[in-house]
Amino acid sequence: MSYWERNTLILLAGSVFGAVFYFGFVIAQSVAAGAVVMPQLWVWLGYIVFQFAVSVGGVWLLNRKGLAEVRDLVGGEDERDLVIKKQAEARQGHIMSALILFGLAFWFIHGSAALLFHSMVAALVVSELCRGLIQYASYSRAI
Amino acid sequence: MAKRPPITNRVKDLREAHGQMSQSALAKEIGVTRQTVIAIEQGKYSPSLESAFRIARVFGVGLEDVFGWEE
Repeated sequence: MSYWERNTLILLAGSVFGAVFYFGFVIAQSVAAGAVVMPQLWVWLGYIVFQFAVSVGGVWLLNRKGLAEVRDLVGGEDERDLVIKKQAEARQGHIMSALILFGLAFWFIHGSAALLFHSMVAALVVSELCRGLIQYASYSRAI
Repeated sequence: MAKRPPITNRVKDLREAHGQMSQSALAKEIGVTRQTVIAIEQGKYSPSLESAFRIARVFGVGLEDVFGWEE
C-alpha cells in the first residue's frame, strides 16, 4: 500500500471518528428530547478536535516511517497521485454542493435552524467521506 | 469499475530485458512512485507524455516501441 493510500485511510478514519462523535451526541440527545436538539458549541468543537487529533496524529505516525518513499517527489506526490486527488476533490465538490442544496431545502420544509446546522455538518462529513473513499478506490482501479 | 484506456505498453518486457531492472529503479529514473510503475504495467494508468518520453529514454527506444494503441 502506497504512502498516499495510507494517508487517505488515516484521514478517512479521522472523518469517521469525528462524525461518530458529533452525530452520536446529536442523535442520542435528539432521541432523548423528542426533537432535533440545537447545535452545541462543545459538541461542534469536540468534533473538530477529534477529527484533527486522529488525522494529524495518524499522519505524524505515518510520516515517521513512510515518508521516505515519496521524499524525492515534488510535493511528495507523483502525476498519478495528483490525478487521483484532483478527481476525488472534484467529485467531493459536486457531492457537497448537492448535499448543501438538499440541506437548505430542509429550511423551507421544517424551518428548523438546528436541522439546518446539522445538515450542513452532515454535508461536510459525507462529502469528505466520499472524497476519501473515491480516492482510495481509485488507487486500485484504472483511471 | 472504470474502463481501461486502450493504450498498451511493453514496460515490463523492456524492464526485464534491461538487466532485470526493478520497478523501484525505473520509478526513480522517471520520477514517480513504484505503485505508479505497477499501475502503468498493468494498464491501469496511462502516463503523461513527459513520463512516457522518460520511460522510452531510459530504455533507449522510441515512444512507439514502448506504447501502442489497441483498437
